[in-house]
Amino acid sequence: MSRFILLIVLAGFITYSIVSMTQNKNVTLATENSVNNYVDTKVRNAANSTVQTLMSRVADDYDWRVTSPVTETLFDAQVTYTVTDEKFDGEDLIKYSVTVDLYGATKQVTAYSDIFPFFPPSFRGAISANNSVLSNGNITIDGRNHTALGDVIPETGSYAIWTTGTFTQMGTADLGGTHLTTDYVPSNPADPNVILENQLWPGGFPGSPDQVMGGPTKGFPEGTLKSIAQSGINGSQYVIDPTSLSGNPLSGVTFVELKTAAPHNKWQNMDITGSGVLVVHNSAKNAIMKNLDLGTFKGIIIADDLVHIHSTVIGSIIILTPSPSSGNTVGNSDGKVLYSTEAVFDALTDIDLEKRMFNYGFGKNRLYVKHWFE
Amino acid sequence: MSDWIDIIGSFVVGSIVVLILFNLKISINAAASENLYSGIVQRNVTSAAELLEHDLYKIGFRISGDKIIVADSNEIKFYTDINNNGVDDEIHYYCDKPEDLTSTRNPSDYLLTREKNKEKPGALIVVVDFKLSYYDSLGQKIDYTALQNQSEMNKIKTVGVRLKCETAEKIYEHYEAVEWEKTIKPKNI
Repeated sequence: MSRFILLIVLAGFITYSIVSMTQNKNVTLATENSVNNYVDTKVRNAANSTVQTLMSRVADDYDWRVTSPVTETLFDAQVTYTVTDEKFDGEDLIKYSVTVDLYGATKQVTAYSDIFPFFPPSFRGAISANNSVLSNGNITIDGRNHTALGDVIPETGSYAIWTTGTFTQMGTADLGGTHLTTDYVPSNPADPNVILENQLWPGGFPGSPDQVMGGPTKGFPEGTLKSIAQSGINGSQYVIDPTSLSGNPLSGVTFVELKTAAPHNKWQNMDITGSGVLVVHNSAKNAIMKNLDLGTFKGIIIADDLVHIHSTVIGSIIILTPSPSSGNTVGNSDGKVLYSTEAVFDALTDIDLEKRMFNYGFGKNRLYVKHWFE
Repeated sequence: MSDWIDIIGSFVVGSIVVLILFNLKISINAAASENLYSGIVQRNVTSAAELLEHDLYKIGFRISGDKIIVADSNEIKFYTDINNNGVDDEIHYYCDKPEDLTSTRNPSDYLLTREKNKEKPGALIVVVDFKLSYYDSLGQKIDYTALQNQSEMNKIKTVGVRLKCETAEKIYEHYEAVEWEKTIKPKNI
């Protein structure tokens, strides 16, 4: 009997040991699941946080890039990253590539942000127009990037003309620009790479100056530019009669809201000396700005209908009307339009407009994130 | 006489020891079974969670138009470039009815199907509860009835997922269950 009991006890211990080992194995697997999940979450968080950190660095210094992979210890993990300029889906963007290694897990995150955070998205070149454009006379339209003084900055420019219609180059007008970082010196005939015709604007061409600046999502609900102009900040002016303008130089936001009925919808033969944001607009989108005869304007011009530039514009121009009064003849004599991100930047920052375009706050980026692949 | 008392006493004590050992073995077996099946279900949930996270974090990547086109309590269909190859993909998660799954004895379980570009068969996950909830940029829950409208679906900024899996068979009068819940904030919507 005692042997039998001994056998039973022994068998019990063996069974218990096997079951216990199996249980331990299951517990280990369950623990592994938890740990793997924790590591996956941590490595993802580290990768995403690194991208946010890199974006913050770029927002602090727009020229900051890391073209060769750099490895650092961030968030307790080994982080390798690059920050480069790249063309993605037809857009010039900043690419952030991050690889994070932590506890044997690896996570890669790639994100893209706008290349120039202060540049309103509607400005697609030296002149962006909602209809066919014609150049005549001796006007120069140069989409290469320029400093605010008009000196060329290589490889960072844009198109001379971006239009929803067609472009006709007549007279001795010269056009230049930048395409895929190749600069094209203004010439006649122009290189086709500096002209974009028959373009479609996703969601429709902006119908108002505030939409041009990006609309409500970028800090410009309808009426924003007008209210800034009325506030008088930094020399801003709002008039319905151009003769009421206080004179040159223009500065801040100059908003000329012309009447809709002819001939009161026309402002002509003006001196545009000054800087900032110049808006010539009315509710019918038929405000005409004709014969920009004198001066140099640095910044942004938003006009319903712009005819004959005889002076110099350094920055960018956008023309809103689909029904131009003179076939969008932007020039018929001497005149220059020099695309300049710096002049646009200065125009915006002089009156803190860029801060409206920022995404300040917890969990937000100061740059506009276009794509994020994790 | 004393020999008989020894034999009977030994028999009683021996029987008690044997009964205790059997009872212990049964308890250990029960715990082991529960643990084993719980581990299996847990691994199923982990795999399903990885798949869901992999897809949902990528909603809207490289998509310029509408990103989420179906948003319901147990169904979601969205566009993304899931492989980052420049080609738009359509990902669709939807649930069958419990009565459609007859191969298990669990009356509550059903199939959660994940289809990529309408390819069949899709990935199948056996669940007993799959619930999606949607939140706007202010973190407010969007009502499912409102989500019939595309403009409302375009307001979705966060997706809440709740997943519960159970064993196919009863383990000692109950089904072993594991739940997973997460709020996912896709960065492209």
